[in-house]
Amino acid sequence: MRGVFVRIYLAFLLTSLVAAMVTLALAAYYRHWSNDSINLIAPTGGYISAAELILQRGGEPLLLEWLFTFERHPSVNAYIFDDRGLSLLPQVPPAVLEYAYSPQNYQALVNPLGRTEILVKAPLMSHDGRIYLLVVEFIHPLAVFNFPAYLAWGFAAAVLLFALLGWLLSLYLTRPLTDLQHYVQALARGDFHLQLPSKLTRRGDEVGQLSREFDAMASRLGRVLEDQKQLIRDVSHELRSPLARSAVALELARLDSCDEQQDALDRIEQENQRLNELIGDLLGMARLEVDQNRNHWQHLDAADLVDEIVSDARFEHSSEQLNWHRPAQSYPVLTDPALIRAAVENLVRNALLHTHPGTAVSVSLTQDGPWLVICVRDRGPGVPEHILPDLVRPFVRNEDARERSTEALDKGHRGFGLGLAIAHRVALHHGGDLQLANHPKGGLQATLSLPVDNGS
Amino acid sequence: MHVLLVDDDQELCALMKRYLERELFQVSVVHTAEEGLQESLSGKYQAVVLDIMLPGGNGLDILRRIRQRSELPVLMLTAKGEEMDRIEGLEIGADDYLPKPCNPREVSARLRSVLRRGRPVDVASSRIEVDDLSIDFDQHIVERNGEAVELTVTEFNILSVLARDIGKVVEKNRLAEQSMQRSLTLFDRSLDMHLSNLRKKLGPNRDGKQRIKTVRGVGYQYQPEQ
Repeated sequence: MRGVFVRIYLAFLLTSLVAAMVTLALAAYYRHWSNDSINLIAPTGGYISAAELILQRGGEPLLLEWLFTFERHPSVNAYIFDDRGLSLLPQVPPAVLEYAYSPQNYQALVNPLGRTEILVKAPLMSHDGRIYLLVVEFIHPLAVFNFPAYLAWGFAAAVLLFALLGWLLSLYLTRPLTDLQHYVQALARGDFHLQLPSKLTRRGDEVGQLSREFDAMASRLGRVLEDQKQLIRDVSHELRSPLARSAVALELARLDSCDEQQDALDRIEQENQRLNELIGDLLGMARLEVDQNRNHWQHLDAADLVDEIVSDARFEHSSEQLNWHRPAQSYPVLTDPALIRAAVENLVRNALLHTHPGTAVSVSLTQDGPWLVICVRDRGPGVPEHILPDLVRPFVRNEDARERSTEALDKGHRGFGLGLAIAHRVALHHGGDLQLANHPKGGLQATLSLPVDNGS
Repeated sequence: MHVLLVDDDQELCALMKRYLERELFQVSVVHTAEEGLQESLSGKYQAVVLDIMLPGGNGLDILRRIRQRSELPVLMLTAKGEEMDRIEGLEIGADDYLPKPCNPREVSARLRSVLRRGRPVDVASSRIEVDDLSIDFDQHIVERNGEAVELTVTEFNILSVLARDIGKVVEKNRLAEQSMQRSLTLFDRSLDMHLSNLRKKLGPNRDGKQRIKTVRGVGYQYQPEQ
């Protein structure tokens, strides 16, 4: 709002200043070069003959009367000097006096921004043959008022008027923009059901056009996302139904199987299991892509969250294998607890899988400025540096056969290379990050940072 | 042992029925929410296996309406990853859940555990009094000040285990094994959900304190009144 207002206001002022300068320059130029002065002298003939007539009929007293009538005309003055060179009027401006005694027969003093006078003189002959001198002074209209004051007032008025105009205009321009902004923010939050006010969409101008296009775009986007969500649900359901049936059929087959078939049936079951895990992971990923829904985000204490996850994990692994000391203070964070749980679970699983037998995985929670940092470190072989950045991409694995060994799978490891990818996306989804690094003392260290919840 | 199977996948139901019948259950199958509700409340069944994703009605609503009328054991089937559904289901009062696709061996094991009226082997008495509660193991009845408290099978089992070891901390895993006949898996919140339901239904004791205390990272204990 303020930005646009200031710009419009300054543009107005600048424009008016330029316009004023140009006008003044033109006026000055015109007055300087025009034959204005000649035009002004034209009526002088009338004054001269009138003055001579009055002088001859009524002498000096009547002439004086006539001179006094000029006081009513601010732009014309007349002065009379008698044959001794004395003025009939008590007060004469020095410029007039100077001119009266000078040899010039007329004089124009042009000052574009100030007083412009044109002085014309003519001799008058009284009835007794005495010569008088009439000086007529024409003052240009501009010269009768105080030009600098006029400029200052005009400027002040312009400043105020433009402020008002600029404010109205900027309001007119920015109101629809702020409306649109709220609307776009809602879109960004994933709320596609907001309607633009009809006063915007019904407008005939470019703003109206933009609003209508926005509306169309939002409903298209909403439809696409809705379709995508539906597709995810459908695919999940469709893929899982045959899997579920095959699992039951497999068990039926087991009931009547002989020992020789046992291995093959186990293998079928294992592959079913893996397919199912894979579908689950893929759906989890897809959900993170699509579901920007923050309805089930909660204000939580990260210490509670990590503590819960670790104590749950300790039910499957011995306490010695998991190094974790709950910090005394609390760390407020705004998250989707299910997602964070999935992310940290994946990190912990990974670490427990890779750490060398008999060594411990350490989990820590600290605060670093605006970030909460959850750090999971194993004491395993680590990862070659060059593939570190790729580990957070789906289906990228450290080419280490252990990952897919039966032993690892028995430990509950999936081995699809999706665990870290999910953790990474969860971090991004919360506006945080996941960093992987080889610890200088050996082992892989995963650092999950989340923004601290400052209660807003 | 008559079990009702509510799932819209007809082929799956047919296979499951065959399997469970081999496991000596008697099985009936329905495919819609409406039928599922009617049949569940008919009194013919000892347990229900209920799919949460059903056409013509959400499985959770059916569960809610069953719970309004009876404490019939209910085993939920949820699509994996639908954690919200699962938590909500346990809150409403499902006895246990299985992620789909599930192993029928597991279904049959869970059904047995739900149906086994968690009678401990070393029964000294068939009835104990704890504070203002009386727990009758034969009848499977819990009374508070002589008024019956309606508990699901799993909730009853949890209370029994805690009450028999009154004042001691019962490790989470042992509690799960004795009340649900299964171990907890990593990040399994089902026991916590049952406990919070149980606390709600029992209410505070006469001291106004919480009856069941959580011991962080270890398990739970029933705290008798002072």
